[in-house]
Amino acid sequence: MLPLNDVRRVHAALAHQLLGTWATCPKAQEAVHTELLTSNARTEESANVEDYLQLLSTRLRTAGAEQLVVDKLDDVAAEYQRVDNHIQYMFEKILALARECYELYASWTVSDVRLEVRSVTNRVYPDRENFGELGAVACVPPRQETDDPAIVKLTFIPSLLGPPSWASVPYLLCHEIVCHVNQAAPMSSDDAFGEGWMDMVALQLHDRWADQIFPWAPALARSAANRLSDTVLRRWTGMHKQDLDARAARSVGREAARSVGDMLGPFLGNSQDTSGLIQLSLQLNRATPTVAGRLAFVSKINSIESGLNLDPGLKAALLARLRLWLQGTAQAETILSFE
Amino acid sequence: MYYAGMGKSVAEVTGIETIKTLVASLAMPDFTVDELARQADVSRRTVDTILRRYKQAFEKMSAPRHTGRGRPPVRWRLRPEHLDAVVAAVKSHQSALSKAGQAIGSSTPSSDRAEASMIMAAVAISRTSDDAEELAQLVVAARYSLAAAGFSADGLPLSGQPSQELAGKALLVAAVTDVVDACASNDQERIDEAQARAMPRVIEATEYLAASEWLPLAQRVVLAPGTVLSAPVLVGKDSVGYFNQLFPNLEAIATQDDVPAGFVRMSDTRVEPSLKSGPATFLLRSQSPACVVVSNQPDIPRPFTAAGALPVLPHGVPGFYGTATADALPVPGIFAGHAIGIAAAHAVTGIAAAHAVTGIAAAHAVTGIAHAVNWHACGLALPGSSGLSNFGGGATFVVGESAAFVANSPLDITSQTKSS
Repeated sequence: MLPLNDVRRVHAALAHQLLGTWATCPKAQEAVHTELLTSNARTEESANVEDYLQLLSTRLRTAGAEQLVVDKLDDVAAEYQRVDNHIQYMFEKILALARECYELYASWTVSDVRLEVRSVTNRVYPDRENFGELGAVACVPPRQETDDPAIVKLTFIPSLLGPPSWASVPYLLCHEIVCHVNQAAPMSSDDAFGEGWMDMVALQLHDRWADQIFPWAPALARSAANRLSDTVLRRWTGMHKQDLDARAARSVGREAARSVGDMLGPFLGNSQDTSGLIQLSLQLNRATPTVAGRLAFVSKINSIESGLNLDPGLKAALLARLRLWLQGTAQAETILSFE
Repeated sequence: MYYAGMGKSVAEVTGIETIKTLVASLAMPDFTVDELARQADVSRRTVDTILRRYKQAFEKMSAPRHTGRGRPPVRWRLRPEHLDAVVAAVKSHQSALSKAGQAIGSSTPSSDRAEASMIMAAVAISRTSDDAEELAQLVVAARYSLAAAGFSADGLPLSGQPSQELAGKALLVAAVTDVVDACASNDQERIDEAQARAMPRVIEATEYLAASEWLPLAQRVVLAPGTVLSAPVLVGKDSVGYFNQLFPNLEAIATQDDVPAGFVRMSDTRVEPSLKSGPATFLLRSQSPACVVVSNQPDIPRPFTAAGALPVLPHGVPGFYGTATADALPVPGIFAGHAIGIAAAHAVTGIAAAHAVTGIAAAHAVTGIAHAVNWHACGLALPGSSGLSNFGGGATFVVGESAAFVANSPLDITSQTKSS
């Protein structure tokens, strides 16, 4: 039986080879997706990676995949040797960019950040995936001591690891490194600021950096990131409470970030300019020491921006604090306590 | 800084228009009269009036070189040093309007936002913290999340007609928030009032909330250090005086329900009328060991351990039970039984001296008995209910055929469902 991490490498290699053709090859999308979903049986039969690669290629060729895709299959074996390097490249590049950004606008306090890659068989997301999606997830476990290294855990679900999942890896890493590695508050899945507000900022930075962090297919990385970021906002009846809470947190956090971004827009001369929000967010992420404080901050913003317009004094106070921060006469933390 | 006429004559222009104009001026780096009027959705005349009235706060910008025909419109901006004063002016008008009972305006948030905000209100108020400042922030977060969901701090809809479930959840979250806020004040009267108001909401919510949503909120109310008994109780006639010492608000109530011979049905005067009827809980006084048994059976189990009675042992649960108390009773572990809770021997026997050395312990015993009765009021310890066990984290909360209750750590629930 092929070890799960080897299966993951094979699927990642296939995904990497198909990055350029994926969007235009609908038959291959379906064939690859089906093949991945049912891969367990074949990986159990395969004695080694070469066997499995051969089997996989044969099955995709006979499944009616487009010629553009078939032409790429011979290169998967060579790609297999490189996929771990690709992951390491993405991680190090994103870490360097995020660190640079934090050092420019706020501060960076983590001396050691490490990547751990693993594979699991069970699905992680409660959602139904589109072809090749939802095959990767990441997290940063809480650190026992502040001096401990921060660990970014990147987990693959090989049976879902198609090109969109592979292309979403830089976004997942951006989320963990920008939102969590350097955050001042303890980790919490229902931290609306860390999971929602900062996710929007991580996504904006990802889109800026896509050419550098996923040079093989930056456009696919952007679309995969946007789809995944939207997917993890969805809620429905019957969803497990833990997921429901986390998704509500992401949703309200993002709303609050969007509201503040809209408030900053006119002062930056261009409503599309996200640099002000990014700068402020990185500072706030370093300045909010408790999840409770973050929840209070986000909920205050949403209460004034929910269309209720019940508390114009609160909105006025926030606008005034933002203006003072923009003028450079107040620190970001003064915005947290607006009232 | 205070502006002349602030909060008074501007109301003639209308306080609402003043607020809208000032807030809009804060949101724009600079503006013409027309631009500000559009942004604030008021007339040019209103903007003119505001600019004159608050003339210290605004300044004209120097005109850029103008090459077209006619005079360019004057551009204005708020003086940076007047930002706080403008905020104060907005708040002053807002306060005046509020006192006059005038609505500033409202609309219904989208259902998605309302639902997400309501979930966050519940998440915030379910969190625990030993830090007073954090606790205060959680209360703030819950109340503002309620507002973002379209509800007042009382849990009433601010506009529109929300779904029944959302409206019910708002009432529950608001009531729980009041309890947490009261607990932070350490004011026993406030805690009791808030708990008495919240318990009916907690009980109602068992009808429409999943256990995983309900339990964290219910815990905040039931485990609050209150003294309210939210279910009617059946007290032995010879123990009425004893329990009245513990619970001065207990009074005998007439009922058409069957009352076992030798017992008096009593209820707490502070609870809502709806909680004065319904299944009663037995409050039994045991002499040896000296303790109070909270049960759904009229008999004191003898011996406790053999009968399966379970002491209430809440490490981490605020209230009466301490390690010493736990040690004083035989604690065999978890087994089926019929006592809902046993309030600790030392504490209850110390009633006579309650106002001296054991005062705190006695007060905690009252709270502990209230916890057991209030869980019972939630229907979690009714005879015939299906079992609830295997709670995570080593917590134990058992509901069996004969109803037993034990808690030795803060309750936690992951995917279990509450018994019907």
